[in-house]
Amino acid sequence: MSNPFSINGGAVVAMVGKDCVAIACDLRLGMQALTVSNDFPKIFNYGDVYLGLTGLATDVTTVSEMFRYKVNMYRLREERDIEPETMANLVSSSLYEKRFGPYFVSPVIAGINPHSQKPFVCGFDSIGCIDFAKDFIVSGTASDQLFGTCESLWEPDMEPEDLFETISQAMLNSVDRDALSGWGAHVYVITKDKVVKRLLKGRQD
Amino acid sequence: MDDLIAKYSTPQDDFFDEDENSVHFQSTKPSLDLKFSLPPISQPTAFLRAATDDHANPECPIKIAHGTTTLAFRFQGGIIVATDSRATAGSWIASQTVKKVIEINDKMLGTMAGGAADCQYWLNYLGIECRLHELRHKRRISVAAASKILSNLVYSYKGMGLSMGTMMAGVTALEGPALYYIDSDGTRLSGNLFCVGSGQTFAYGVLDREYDYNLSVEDALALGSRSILAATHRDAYSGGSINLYHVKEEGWTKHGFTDTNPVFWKTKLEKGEFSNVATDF
Amino acid sequence: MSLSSVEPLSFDPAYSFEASQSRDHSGAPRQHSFNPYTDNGGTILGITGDDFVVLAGDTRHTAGYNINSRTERKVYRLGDNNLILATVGFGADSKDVAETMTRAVNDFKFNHNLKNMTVNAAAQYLFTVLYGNRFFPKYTHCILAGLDKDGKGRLYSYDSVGSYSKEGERRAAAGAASSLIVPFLDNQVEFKNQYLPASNGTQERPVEDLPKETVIKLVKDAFTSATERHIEVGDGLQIITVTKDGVFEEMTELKKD
Repeated sequence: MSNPFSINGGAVVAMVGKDCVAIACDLRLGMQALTVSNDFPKIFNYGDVYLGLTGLATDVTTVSEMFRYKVNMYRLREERDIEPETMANLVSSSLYEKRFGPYFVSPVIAGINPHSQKPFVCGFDSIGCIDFAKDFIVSGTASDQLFGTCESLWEPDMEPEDLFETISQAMLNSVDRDALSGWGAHVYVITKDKVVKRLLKGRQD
Repeated sequence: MDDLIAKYSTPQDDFFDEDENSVHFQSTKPSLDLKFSLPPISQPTAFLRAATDDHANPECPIKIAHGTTTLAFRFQGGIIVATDSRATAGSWIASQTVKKVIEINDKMLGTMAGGAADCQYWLNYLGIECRLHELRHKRRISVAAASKILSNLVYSYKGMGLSMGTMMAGVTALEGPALYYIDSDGTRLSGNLFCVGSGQTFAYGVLDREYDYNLSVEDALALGSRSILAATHRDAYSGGSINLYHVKEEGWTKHGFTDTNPVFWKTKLEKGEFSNVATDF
Repeated sequence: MSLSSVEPLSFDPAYSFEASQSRDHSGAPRQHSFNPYTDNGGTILGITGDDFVVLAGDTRHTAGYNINSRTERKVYRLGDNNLILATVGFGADSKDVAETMTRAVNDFKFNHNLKNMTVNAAAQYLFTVLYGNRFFPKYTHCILAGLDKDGKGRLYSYDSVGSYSKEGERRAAAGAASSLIVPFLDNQVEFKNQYLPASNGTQERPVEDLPKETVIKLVKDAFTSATERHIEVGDGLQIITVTKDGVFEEMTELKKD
């Protein structure tokens, strides 16, 4: 219970579809058993890249602000938006800088590469080891449950509407079996020329 | 050994002469054959704590379900008993459909918080004892007496790791509506209103604000339900369904096992409560 | 009561094969610890239908990162009637519980003029067996299943000290990968978070009994997924089905990596 990764609770999942990706997060922020807020989204947008962060809430905020600064500096220097693959390496090296005093976060990246149009998702441990995946990435206190639902529900080459339904069902049914996450969810479905953001009305207990 | 031989070799003529009010029936020890196996070590209690108490040892191999909201209160129309239905082991939600109101007999209810098996087993045992009391004394046991059987029982196992926080509710001609709180430390309290479990503070918050002894039956049922709903919303370890009972002198009646999800949205959208929950961006 | 009859053992309990040092680094005497449990991994799962019930378990038996066996079954038939029991947790305790139940079911038959024990009676008996070990728990999670008097499928799931629901359940899973399988079952068996398409998310999809073919498909899906993501699950899958026509066992393969 004193594990910093499970004090505040939270869950994030990202999935690959046919020429699209989706990323979803829950909305809970708690202090152990007590639910403090039901409006704490864990997905942050940096141009073409979407970053999901679970773990210790203070580090979620700090890390998201740090990357806002770093991505803005990148844009000023390079005069273009950062690509998902580049962002993955930036996250990795930034986390490894704190190898012996890490941020207690488990990041997830989702996005479509603006040049190759290829969908991209990856995940990290708290010190920056990248996990590239062709299918899906899960993170947070409901990660076991998400592994189960995603592994069973996901299939290759889903269209955006199917991808939305799949990631939503995976998310809702997983957080309903985790006491520390849930209380509603945000879902982003990202295609090459459109991003659809939806609010899921989940169980409020 | 000599004592044993003496006991069975001398005739015991007076054995059948004991009248029914003699101490023979008033034994404080459990009268059923209760044989529990124990670990073959000098300190079984220390072992139990290490193996099953996730508070003392978070890595314990055997997780016993905890986390609950239960409440019961006395009012002019009897007693309302309400509980949630979630069982958790750590942060894992093991079940959303636990029946935390235990029907001891058709006149008396017990509630369940703490170890699920402990509550089920000992309240079932209490049901047997209550029935035996009826057969021996030709009248229903009082809630006071029944609750004392349970509290003496758990007190005899003190330190062995039993975990239960229970409320007993019944209405008898002698006592009127009677409500007792008993826990595995051996505490036994009578009172008007109790909330027990990890969500108790949230339930007290709603219950204390609206509680009145002269509440109508309809309002009392609604208050019990609303208090549990508040607790399931804020307490991570409470949730599932709302289990509602009303206890009267004729016996108890069940008022549903209702999923909290539709109740929550109805309360929010129709009464404008829970404004902290967003419905759009 | 039997509580006072426990005496300290005068010998070292030989439950662990670890060579234990009698003194620690500072030279102070080291107390021997009592470690009677090992987690042997594996997962079990049960689903009921209207007139049948299915219990399944993988056949991998592990200790830490080692695989002790790839063919160890953990779903048992209790006697020669329609009762089946699946156990998971510590292999020795699990087997002991299964044997105790088998003995009870057989004894019941011989003592009651060849009448079979009903599934709800077996369920209550298993509760008392497990709670009888309340102060030295069997490290095992049980799922008991069978057909009741009306031929309906019944399924009961227990925690390690016996807690169970008398009403039974539609589906249950326990063991290493239960946290992966249960949310999937919530969705696919109880239709949780599914709404009728025409109702615009206001009307829940009603729960219904699934046909046997669908149930078997779900069981296989659940286990192949669990095998993919959990190291303690795999090798083989044992599925036992009880119908009015009898008890049938099916063995299929799971990944062995």
